[in-house]
Amino acid sequence: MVFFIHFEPCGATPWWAFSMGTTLRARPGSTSDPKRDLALTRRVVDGDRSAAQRLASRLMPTVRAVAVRLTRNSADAQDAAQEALVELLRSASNYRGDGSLEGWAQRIAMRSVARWMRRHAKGAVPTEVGDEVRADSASTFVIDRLPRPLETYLGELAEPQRTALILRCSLGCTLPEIAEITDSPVPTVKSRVGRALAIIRGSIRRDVRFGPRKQAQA
Amino acid sequence: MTLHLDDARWRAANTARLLDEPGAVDPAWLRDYAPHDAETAAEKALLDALARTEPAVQIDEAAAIAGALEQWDPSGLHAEIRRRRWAKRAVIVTGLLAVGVAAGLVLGVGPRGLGIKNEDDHIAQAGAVSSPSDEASAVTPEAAPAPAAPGSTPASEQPDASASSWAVHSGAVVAEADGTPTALLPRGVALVAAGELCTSSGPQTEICLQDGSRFELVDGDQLELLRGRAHVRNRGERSFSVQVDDMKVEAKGPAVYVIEREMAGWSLTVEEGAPVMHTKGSHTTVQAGQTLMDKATRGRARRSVPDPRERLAAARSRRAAGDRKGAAKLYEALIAASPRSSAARVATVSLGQLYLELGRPKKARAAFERYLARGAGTLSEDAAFGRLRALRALGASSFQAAVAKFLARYPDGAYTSRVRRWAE
Repeated sequence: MVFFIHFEPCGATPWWAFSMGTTLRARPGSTSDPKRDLALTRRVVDGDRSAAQRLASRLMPTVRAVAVRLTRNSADAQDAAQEALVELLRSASNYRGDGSLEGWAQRIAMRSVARWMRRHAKGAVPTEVGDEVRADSASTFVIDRLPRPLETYLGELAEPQRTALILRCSLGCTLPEIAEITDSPVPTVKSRVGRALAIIRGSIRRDVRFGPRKQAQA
Repeated sequence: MTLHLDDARWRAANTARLLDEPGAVDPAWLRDYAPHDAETAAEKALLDALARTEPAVQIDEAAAIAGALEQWDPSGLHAEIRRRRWAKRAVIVTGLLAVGVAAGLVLGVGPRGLGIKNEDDHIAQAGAVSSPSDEASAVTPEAAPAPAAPGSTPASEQPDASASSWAVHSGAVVAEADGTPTALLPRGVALVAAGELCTSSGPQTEICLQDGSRFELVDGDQLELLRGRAHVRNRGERSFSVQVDDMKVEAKGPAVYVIEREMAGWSLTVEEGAPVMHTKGSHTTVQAGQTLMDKATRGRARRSVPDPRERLAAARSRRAAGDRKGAAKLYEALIAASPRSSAARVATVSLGQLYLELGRPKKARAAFERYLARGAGTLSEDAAFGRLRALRALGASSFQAAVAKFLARYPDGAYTSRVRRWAE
């Protein structure tokens, strides 16, 4: 059985949520009950392995959603997701039960994955064909209107710009939230998002006017 | 190209919204706006795609959860804390030992030569012997059998040694617990301070402990290994056991086995005989040639094998650097080493693409077909397209049929327009 729940990025409803309805697949039984969630995290803090397994399984979709968006390929997503899960388990004592467990987990996961990306920025591996964005059936229409695959546009951005744009547009964070996640001042974040938009706009203009650039592997 | 007035307004309003600047307009208008020109349409499509689509990146969720639990494991954390504590103590003890050795050199070893110098010494060396019924004062070099060459004197050749006495044949031990020369007493933690320490408990059991090992004699018939490596040779029928955490190995007959204890884990390798391993209420007879280890050690052993993902990353950076042949070799090595891993599955498609770039369509075709043969995957479309390119390069007669099949399968795919051109 698959439940569909509304994804509330960065704990707030993003401006497109009312129309886009971004969904995440959630496992059965994952409906949020802060009291029960608090009890679960307390058991994890006490070292209960089965509770830790339950918590990790429950939060995996949240972590996955963040990791696959922010990283560039499967290997990085796998590593970053695992690290985020470890951080979630170790931070279980910080959950106070005053909000949804998924919202709490997503904030931690975003910080953790962003930190992972910063640490591995120097050895960043370019995105391969195998890691290109593939639209699901619901979004094929959107993707097909792009001159080139989405990931190739994102690949033209510097890592901080890419991260800021994804956090803003894909995960719906506010500029101050991005500043907190990326350990950067708000004006810097604003500049990164603005610059990323400008670069992408320039690429689109070139592609529309002169045709998409030839891909290396094509 | 002239930008439509409303398109310009949409762009400005959208930028203002994203940058939290004044000038934002009704979100419904932003959402429902139908751009007039291609540029604005593409920009809107890109932002919509960012919000709506999830990259088809594969994550092995079960592996991520298992890995996270292994890293989180509170018992592992506690073991690490214990290990650090022990490491700190080892540094202190080694320092003390160095001071002791220096003092010994200054005072002179004296006529008694090797062995226990007096009751207050903290170092016991080869030739010393003790009985559990005696306390610290009972150990004298005169009472001990003659010092033996390291590793050459089997305990069975010492007729005076009683079943519960302990003799040091080689190496040196230093006391840690209470300042008494505990190495030869049945209580207290001892550290093997120099070389390999070989001791015997009576004529039937000989134990050699590696340099740096820590151990405690629980009683005459049991040794608890706290860290390091113990090589145990049990010759007779008398029961003798070595314990590591809650695991105990007992040999009631002739047996030779090695126990290693490092950080949070242990391993047991049986060379001869069939000792019994007791763990948490259960017992297992371990046969000669078998190696058993606990979960943490198994995990470390697994990690010591190159990770497929690391290999994949290495191949990718080689490819990005323009070394296609080198990258192809790395991809091949990865697929050969971990054929069932998800990294190998991705690598198969990359390898096919590399072979196409290298002008080797036959090998490329084989790689793509290997991917497709394992059923549908995220890269099925890429693999199918790669296979078409390979068939085209080979001038295969099956090309046209493959094109028709591709178009039927992916009527709106990323490569469809290109394949259609081939079909025309």
